[in-house]
Amino acid sequence: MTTKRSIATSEIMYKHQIPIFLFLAICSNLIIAPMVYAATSEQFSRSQAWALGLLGVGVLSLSTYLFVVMFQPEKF
Amino acid sequence: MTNNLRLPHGTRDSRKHTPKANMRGLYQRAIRESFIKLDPRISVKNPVMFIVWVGTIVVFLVTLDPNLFGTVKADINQQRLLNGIITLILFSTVLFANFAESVAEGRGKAQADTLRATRSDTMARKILPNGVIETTNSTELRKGDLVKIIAGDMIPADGEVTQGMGSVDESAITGESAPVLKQPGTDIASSVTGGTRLLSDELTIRITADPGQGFIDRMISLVEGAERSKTPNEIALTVLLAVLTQVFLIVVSTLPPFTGYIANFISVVFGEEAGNNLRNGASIAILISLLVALIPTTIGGLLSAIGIAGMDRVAQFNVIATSGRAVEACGDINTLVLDKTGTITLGNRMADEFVPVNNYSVEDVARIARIASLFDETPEGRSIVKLAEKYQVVIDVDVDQAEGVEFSAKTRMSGINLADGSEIRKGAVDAIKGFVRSRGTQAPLELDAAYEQVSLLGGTPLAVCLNDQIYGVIYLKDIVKPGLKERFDQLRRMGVKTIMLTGDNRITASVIAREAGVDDFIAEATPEDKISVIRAEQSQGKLVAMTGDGTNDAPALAQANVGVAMNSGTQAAKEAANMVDLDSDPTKLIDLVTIGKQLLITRGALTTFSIANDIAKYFAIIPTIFGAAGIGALNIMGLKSAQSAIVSALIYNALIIPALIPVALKGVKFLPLTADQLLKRNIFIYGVGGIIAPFIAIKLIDVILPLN
Repeated sequence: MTTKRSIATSEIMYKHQIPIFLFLAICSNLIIAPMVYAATSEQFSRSQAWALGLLGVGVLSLSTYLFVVMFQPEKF
Repeated sequence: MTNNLRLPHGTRDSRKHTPKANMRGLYQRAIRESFIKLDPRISVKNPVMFIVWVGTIVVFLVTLDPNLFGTVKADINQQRLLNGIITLILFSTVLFANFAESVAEGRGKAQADTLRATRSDTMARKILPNGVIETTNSTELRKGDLVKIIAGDMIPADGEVTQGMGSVDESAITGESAPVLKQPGTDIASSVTGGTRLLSDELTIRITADPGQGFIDRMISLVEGAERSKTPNEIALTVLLAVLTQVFLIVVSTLPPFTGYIANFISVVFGEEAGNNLRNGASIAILISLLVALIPTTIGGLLSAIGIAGMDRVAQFNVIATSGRAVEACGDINTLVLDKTGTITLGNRMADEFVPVNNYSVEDVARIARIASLFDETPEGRSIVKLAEKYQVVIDVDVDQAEGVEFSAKTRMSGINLADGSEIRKGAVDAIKGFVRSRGTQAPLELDAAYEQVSLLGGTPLAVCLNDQIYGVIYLKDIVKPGLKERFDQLRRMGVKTIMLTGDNRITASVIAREAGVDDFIAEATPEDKISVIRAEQSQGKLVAMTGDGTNDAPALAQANVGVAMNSGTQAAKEAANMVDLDSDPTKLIDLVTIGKQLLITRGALTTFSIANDIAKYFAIIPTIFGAAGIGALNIMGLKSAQSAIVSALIYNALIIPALIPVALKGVKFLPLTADQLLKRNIFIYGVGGIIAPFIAIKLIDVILPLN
């Protein structure tokens, strides 16, 4: 039963990779954005800090994606 | 080899086929496809353009809200306008790249549509094991089924003729209107292709492919690009582009902290305003512009189009490549292994003279040669009969009682066994010598003189004998195809070695080799020699290409780096090869080598151009960002303003992609030069040109733009 459920979960995750990834990125910003806000001593508003955090996560994701391209180029 | 060969003279373009596919609406379809390719699941396959696409979205967001990533100190409307312009240019860059790929793919899809039209389901007459004929749909047919085809019928699937003889219209796949004779038992004319039509008589065929696995099905998926996998060079280039993009992504994303640090320093030295100017200069939109300008977008946008266009160029020559890898390998070929007959010389050798020995007369030789050729349906055999008829020789043979002896590569002779037990043979001089020796007689010394006489003329000597008596030699005249010497010279200049393989003797082979201008030859070669020659060359680290059509060529075709099978050849040869020539013209191998080299040169030239472009773009954007840091003097183009400089560089970056689409699709003009000469030429045109052209273009755009 447990095995079946884990197979189903992994299938769902594989099918919906992009939404899951975006959701996790936004979630990770829950930690990053307050850090940005705190580090810039109110130079940025809360929403700007949130946007900057997301931008940082985006850049990091792109960089990871480029590493994947470098190591598995035949997939692209 | 085959008849109806096209001679290799004239320019390559003059021998190119007019695409049979309907290209109407190609550009409208390509524009539609360009938007479909914006889907992230598709665009993620092209790393460079995916980064540009993500950058476009981010700049679009800062167009909607310029204060999204930080409060803008300058006029917000002006900032919004600049961001909007950058968004539009970046979006156009992505669309242009998608358009280039879609145009290249569109040509293949149009060809696939034309082929698909020939693949309609037909009814077939299936012969059941008990001999009863059952009408069934062609999709129900399976490998091994026997099918009867009557004149006018569409051939339901790929197969081998097992019974009957008839002419088949293969124009649907070859574009050649002349019908092709199909008959069982022959290596070159027994295979039929589904979708072609039987014009006369009846055939029984054994199906060799299951539904969806046939030749036309494979062709459709290939020209459509469904099975297109990246070639080794494309993979290497993808890695290089990803590395460059990664480097520039890290550089650009770490610029803001550096700018901030320098701005603090500038504020102290030159005042607060100078520091703020520097901070504002490095806004998110401008940093993304810098990133897009620096990453190799030109080659990133055109890379797949170049590869697809290479396949398309091969298809225009009526050659179907099983993969882009095969087309690319053509460009790296070091050695060409070519059959003499049909490739270097005209396919049909004609009997020109009878040379008698052993005190026999010419008429005696003509009579024996004619009888020996009674069962020989090859063009050579027919020409012997024709020549013998000129001597008005009379033959009194009951053909119904006689038994034909087929030529084989092993015995290297053919002939006839008569009802009275007489054995008449014709074949290679050594083989006939061996034949009479086995019957207790030695060949006369005159035979060697006749053999040498014919060989020195570049002809093929065929000895004829009746039982243990050698009558003489038939002179089969070989004609070297016109224009081949020049083409072999071109190949030599490109560093490609040509090896001629022939079953002929050493003297004939050397005369033909000299006349044709090949680098090396293997005389008295057996089919097994082909594979050993290929292995020997490969063991020296060379890439080898060859053509073949028979089942005995299949191992060599599989062993060669590029194996081109003739469409008229056997199924085994076609399956072993990585290319199939629909026109069955072995000389096309030379064209394929030049197409492959052109593909590699085009990719190299555009990569050089794309990377060389960076220098001008760097000089346009960097001084505008760091102008406040005292590097304004680097604005050597004298661009009007920071905004104008960035927009000009990005417009150039976007426009160069559609400007280079024709080069990517047609390929860089091919010249038969050595690798060194080519390198120097391309570095000058695409390297130096790639540095100078953007300086001029960016300056011109800057002058035209109404931005201040």
